[in-house]
Amino acid sequence: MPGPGAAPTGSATTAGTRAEKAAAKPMQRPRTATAAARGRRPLGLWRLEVLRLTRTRRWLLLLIAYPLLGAAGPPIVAHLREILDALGADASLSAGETSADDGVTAYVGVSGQIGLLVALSTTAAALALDHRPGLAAFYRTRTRRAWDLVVPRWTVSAAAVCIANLLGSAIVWAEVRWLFGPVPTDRMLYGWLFSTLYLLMALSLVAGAAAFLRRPVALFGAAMVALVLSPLPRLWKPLRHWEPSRLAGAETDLLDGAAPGDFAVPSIVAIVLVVVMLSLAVWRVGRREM
Amino acid sequence: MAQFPPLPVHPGAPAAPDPGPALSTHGLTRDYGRGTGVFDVGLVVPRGSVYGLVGPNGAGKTTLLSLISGMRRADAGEVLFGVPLDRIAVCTDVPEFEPWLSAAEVVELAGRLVNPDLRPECVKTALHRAGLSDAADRRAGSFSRGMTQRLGIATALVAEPELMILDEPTSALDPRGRAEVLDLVAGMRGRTTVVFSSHILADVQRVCDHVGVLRTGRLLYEGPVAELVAEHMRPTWLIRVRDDGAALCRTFAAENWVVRVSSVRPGLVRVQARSVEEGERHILGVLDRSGERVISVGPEESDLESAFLSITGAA
Repeated sequence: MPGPGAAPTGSATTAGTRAEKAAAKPMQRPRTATAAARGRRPLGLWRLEVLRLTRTRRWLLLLIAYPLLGAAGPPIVAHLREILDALGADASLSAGETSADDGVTAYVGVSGQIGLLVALSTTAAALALDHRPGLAAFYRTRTRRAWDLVVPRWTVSAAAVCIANLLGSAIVWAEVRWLFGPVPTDRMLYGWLFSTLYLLMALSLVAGAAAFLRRPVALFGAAMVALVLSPLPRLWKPLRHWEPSRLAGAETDLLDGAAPGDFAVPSIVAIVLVVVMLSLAVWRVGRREM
Repeated sequence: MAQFPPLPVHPGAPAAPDPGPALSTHGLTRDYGRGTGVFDVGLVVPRGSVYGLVGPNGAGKTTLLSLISGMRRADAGEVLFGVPLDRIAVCTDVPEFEPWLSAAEVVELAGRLVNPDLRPECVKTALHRAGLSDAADRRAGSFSRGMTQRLGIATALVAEPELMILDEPTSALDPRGRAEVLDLVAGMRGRTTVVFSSHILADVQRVCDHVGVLRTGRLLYEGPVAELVAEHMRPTWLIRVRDDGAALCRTFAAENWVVRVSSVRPGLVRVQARSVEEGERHILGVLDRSGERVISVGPEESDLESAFLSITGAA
């Protein structure tokens, strides 16, 4: 190792000699140098989160959970009778007439559940910023505000989940239209909007858990428990129309005749919860010591 | 510690002279209970010095550095920096990085978090100084512990800090890597203040000009290394003679100014006097009277380790 201030290409050191040898082999030039020459975007906290999604292949899980599994739902519902016949089941007992609602319900039922698990785990992994002390020290000694630690991680994860859900919903919409006939466009759009709000609320619970917990598994578990318990306020009549978990089934409810206005209050509650949970996470993470 | 301001026009140039210390603490206390933690620590780290924080395992070195770097909060006391807060870099004893980032990306991220206008050359220079030029494109997750520690040093170097806090920076390095890092640290003297903790006293003596000795969370000594060694130099001499030295041991034991005399091995006698002055005054006379065939006489080498053992009462 050369002394401080020595030029990077100094030849008096072992490292410098190696660097010169490496430079002499054009095929083995570092990728970073090439990327810099191409004008690669600088690496900051936001791009870091995009890389976290892409390099850890978590985006693939989201792709499988929403668009891929979602795409399988309507065709299965449309051909349920044939599938059951092929399996030797009594189709007359198991399957009645299927409709567009059933196609959307299949998406909400399958991708809504599996996708939610993937979304929670992806966000929990990103938000467990104090799980590894050395890594936490790296970020905490270089950032002034807890906001910088929490918000990019949550926002990029949430954006990826929302995009995956949008893709899934769009594919399902196209399939349902092709297999069962036209469905109201405005209802589908409202449905996507409300389900997105529900997802954001669910992901904000992970942020809320990150305010108190450190391990990704703990964050995931705490958010899951909170989601499972979230419909409990429905038991008390005055809170029934405020409860935001209703948003999860908005896509099918809207096709069944519910009005978009029915989801206005739960949407407001969901937005308030997102703001509160993120603020709580920023506040607590900023005060927490390693 | 955080968003570093833009670097000076000539990064790496000596900072303007400032009479105050780069870092000082007053009455710094963090009590974990059961006697663990740090208590009433008052450090003064001269600007431009290489300050070694030494102490046995569990002495409170990492806790003290965590308090200084803001990763933990003190129960009492204060930390005063003589450099801008955004010109301080910290490297923990077990640095960790996103395993899916390359070494160059890790260093770039570290630099851009504190200086958004970081020049790409700074990344290359930092990697080079840490001896990682060849591994710039390798994923951090594939690094050995020693390489990860070097990467930690590179992330600290990239923003050209005025104060570097290094917690056990050589603990995972092989002898050659250790020597390289110590050379790097020593080379910063005068333009970057370095505080580094270590339980390897030879490392501290090699590169540090100031030292703080911690034991059970309390600062037992602080000052120049040379003074510490001199203050705690034992008035001890090693005498080599032709025979087994048994007779010489008996002769010295009869002297009232001798505190302790022992045979290290046949032919080598260690004599400890009450004071350096008494030893220097009488030792040759005793040897003359004894009639022994003397091969050599000399003071026992004093080093930081013996001073440390003397201070901490472990000797």
